[in-house]
Amino acid sequence: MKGTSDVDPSIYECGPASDSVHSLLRLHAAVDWFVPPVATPEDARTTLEHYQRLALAFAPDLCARSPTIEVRSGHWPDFQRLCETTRENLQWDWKFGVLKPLTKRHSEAQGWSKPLDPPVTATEPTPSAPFLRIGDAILWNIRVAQLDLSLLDDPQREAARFFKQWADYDTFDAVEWQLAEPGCALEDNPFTHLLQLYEGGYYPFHLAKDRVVLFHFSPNGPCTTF
Amino acid sequence: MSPRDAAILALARRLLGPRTRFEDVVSALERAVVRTIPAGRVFVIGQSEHGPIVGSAISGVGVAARPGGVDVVRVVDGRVVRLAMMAEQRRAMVVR
Repeated sequence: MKGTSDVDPSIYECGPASDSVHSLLRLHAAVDWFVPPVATPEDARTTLEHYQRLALAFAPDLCARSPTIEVRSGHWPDFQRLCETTRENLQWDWKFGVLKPLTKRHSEAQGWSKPLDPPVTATEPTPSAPFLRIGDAILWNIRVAQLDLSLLDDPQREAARFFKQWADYDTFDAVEWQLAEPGCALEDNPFTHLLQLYEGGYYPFHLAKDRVVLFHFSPNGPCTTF
Repeated sequence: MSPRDAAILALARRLLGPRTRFEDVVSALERAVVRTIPAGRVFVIGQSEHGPIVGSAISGVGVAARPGGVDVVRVVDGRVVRLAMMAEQRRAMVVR
């Protein structure tokens, strides 16, 4: 299942970070979601470990030094259960406990903040502007490809929407990393590796600070065809 | 609506006070998000006939202007669903 967007990723004018931002948005747009993987489990594990190393180097207090990585394959009910487990886990929240503080620290370390003079939104937004102003609020205006989830039944759709929305946020974190540090190679941006996991057909569930399930849809058995 | 979205909107309402303009609602929402979430972001998530819809790219919950006020809405699969009222302009009572 590939996403569609009414906006070409290359229209965003992000100054010296434009090329890398466009690359990240194209990487996100190329992901074929919720289908059996194209990467091997070994490659996926290596990609996740690359993310872990970069995140640990920047924020050692936020990340486990040697998390357990379990590669698990399954079908929609297994994916749904992992989404529910993640959603119901009130003790540990990878997105809010690690990824967002990681982004915030990086932006602060680079002295980056949103531009103070983006175009004003009137009745028609400016599609090429990554940020828009309404009153004294400065808003993100970058859009990523969206999925048509109408082919899925209700539980599948809810799980797919849950995961995809959080994966979209990884893309925004990746973009903010580049905006904050335009000279950073994409390989050195930890969020790039999360997008590469999705591109390879692997879905990381951080069930605890030191435990990750790297899920992929099984190529065998009942699997939704899009 | 998730507890996090509900908490952010409740804080935005407190920060908004008696003001009702869309620009003021958006400003209050942005301040509420930044106070609640590290690296919190507010997005333009859609467009209605009355202007931009502003809110969370994660949940699709946001605010949208309408004649006479501002609504809390959810943008889901391209559809805009009204969830609640965010701000309502008071109208002077006319006694005839």
